[in-house]
Amino acid sequence: MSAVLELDALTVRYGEGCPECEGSGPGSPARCTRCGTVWACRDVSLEVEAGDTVGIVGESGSGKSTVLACANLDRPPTSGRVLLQGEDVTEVRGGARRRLRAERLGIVYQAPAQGLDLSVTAGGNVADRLLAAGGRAYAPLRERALDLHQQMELPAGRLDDRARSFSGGMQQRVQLSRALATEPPILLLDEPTSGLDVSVQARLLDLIRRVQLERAVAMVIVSHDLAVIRMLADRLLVMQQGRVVEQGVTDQVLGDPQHAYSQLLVSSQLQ
Amino acid sequence: MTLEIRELRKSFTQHALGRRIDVLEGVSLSVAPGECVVLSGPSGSGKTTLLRCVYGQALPDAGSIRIEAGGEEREMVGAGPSTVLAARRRLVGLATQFLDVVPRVPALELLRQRGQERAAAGRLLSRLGLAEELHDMPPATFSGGQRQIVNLALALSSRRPLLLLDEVTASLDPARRRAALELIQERKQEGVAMLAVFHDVPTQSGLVDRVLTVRQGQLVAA
Repeated sequence: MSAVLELDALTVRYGEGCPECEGSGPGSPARCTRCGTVWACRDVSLEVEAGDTVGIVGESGSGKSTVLACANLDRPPTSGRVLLQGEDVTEVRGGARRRLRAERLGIVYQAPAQGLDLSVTAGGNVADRLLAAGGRAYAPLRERALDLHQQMELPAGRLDDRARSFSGGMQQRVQLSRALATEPPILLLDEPTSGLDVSVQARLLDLIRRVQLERAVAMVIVSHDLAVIRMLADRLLVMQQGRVVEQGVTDQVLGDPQHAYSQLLVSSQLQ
Repeated sequence: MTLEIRELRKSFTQHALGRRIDVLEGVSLSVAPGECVVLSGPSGSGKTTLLRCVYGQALPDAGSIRIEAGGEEREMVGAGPSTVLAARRRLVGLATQFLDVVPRVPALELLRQRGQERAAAGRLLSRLGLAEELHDMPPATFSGGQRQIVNLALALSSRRPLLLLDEVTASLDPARRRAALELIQERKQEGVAMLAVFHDVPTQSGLVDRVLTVRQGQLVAA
């Protein structure tokens, strides 16, 4: 099967680099001590097929969200390529990029304000994405927004309430319905459950599980919570200092971690 | 042979402690279709590690693990994630004494999500002794034994030609343990190959074909 999403040797750096940090190998710090260049992510490659979920874990600042931002075409990599369904879209800009995002990429950000316009209604946030993908007539847009609203177990009476008036867990579900509105083949989740209480977290996890079972999306999920990763991800990447230090089947990486940092991560988890 | 293990070696390296622990030091065994091989040995001898190597949950250092059924063959040592995941989808199932529960999903629905038809899933849970009023409840609220029933039902309903069973009857009462062993035996009679760890090796006639003991990283016939 061919990959729906492929990231090929993605590197994002802030700064010009110098011979010392450009030539440095695994284990080198994310920030060069000589020239001050920060390597947010370095040589990260990843392939996700339809129906496949890849998790990314790592300490804060290890480059997880940068990888996701590149995959969502939010920012261009310094080098490397982003391929959607085999097509190199690394350099796509402007209207073409907006359309790609609307049709092929769905994202749930950690902070709802990043993924939603909080001054717009829940339904409006979903409709906005449908419009970007070419939807025009009001009635089908509203019908689709309402349908998703109910699938996400949001109260039907609140479709026309501003997103700002929603709780954190509800805003995450509005983000998820916005992401799924155009049935994109790729879903990116950045810490979707952090900051939510356990009952709301369980509801969101259940919804994401259902998306996995019912639609053959290619999913990438970034999380600090290894239990969430264990439940949702088939494969796992462990990142440290901008690099992938270990990858494999999720229960293998978490059950028999090979790299010193993965071992530390697993042993630090509350049981 | 459904499962053929040759000269398997596995050690665990703890970087923080600078220590390496050798667990399996050249283990060979094979399991034929419809055969049930039981591993015994003291706690920490490597029984579970052996099962986890076969399932791709632990990375062996050397050797070979071949799973073969229905014209499909997979080598698990050195296999990439896609090979491991494909083998789990079609060839090998694992049941442990622990269940990673998905919150909010009822027991019956868990089985249904794995492709089991609703009525058959209900019958399976009932045969294993899970009260009917619990079928529509999420296992997160269950006792240890009840969770284990769900776990075992998931493994037994999966129809993989090779089943790995790790202490699957450990927290069951005698009646439910009997029911579980009966079902395991039925799968065996259907031709499923089994590699199992039991705290108390079942004496039930016809279930266990061979008992192998793990001793100092090697396998010896008990």
